[in-house]
Amino acid sequence: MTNFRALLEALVDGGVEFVLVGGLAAVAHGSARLTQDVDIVYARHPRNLERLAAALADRQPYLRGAPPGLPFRWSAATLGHGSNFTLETSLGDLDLLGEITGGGRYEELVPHSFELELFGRAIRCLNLDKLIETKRAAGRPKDLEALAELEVLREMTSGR
Amino acid sequence: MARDAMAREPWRDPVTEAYRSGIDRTLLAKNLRLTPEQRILAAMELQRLAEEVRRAGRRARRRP
Repeated sequence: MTNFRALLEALVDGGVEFVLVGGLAAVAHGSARLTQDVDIVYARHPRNLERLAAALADRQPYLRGAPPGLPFRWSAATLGHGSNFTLETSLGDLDLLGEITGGGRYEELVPHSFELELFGRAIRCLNLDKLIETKRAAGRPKDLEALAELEVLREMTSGR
Repeated sequence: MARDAMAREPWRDPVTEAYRSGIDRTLLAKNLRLTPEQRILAAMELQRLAEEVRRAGRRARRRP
């Protein structure tokens, strides 16, 4: 089980620059679908990699589904060598994305995001239009039902 | 005339359209009455319940 709240708090309190995307962003917009992990697109500049590494250092991040004992070292350098990391942590599953299809990198997503007040913190979340666009661009069969739901949500909230 | 009406409508993906009929709008309306924070807390509770059901299923399968 993923502790969404604690994961988001750890990231924000660690000063990490990120945009919440994926299933949990959809939940924040009103989706009724069950989601298991937190997906974020994070800024790739060196200072942010340091912050991200520090924010999760005590949470035992490890590559999800990988056999135990791999020489995986959680650090800013490791983050710098990759882009997307699907992690399990002591707080639950977290997907770190350097960029997403149809949305691009952190800097490109920021103009399509807004600040959500969650748990006493400001958390940057992808807006509904862009979330729909990225789901559509991903083109994964498993996303089609989620996409339909997001479109219905947009109709229900337009003009609010 | 029907063609004019079609031209005014935005294009919709037929596969997504097929899924739309199955979307429970009452659940969405209920969620929209909550704050984003309440929605995320409710999702955590749902996740906890789903995990409990999975565990119960595993226990039931182990039973002779």
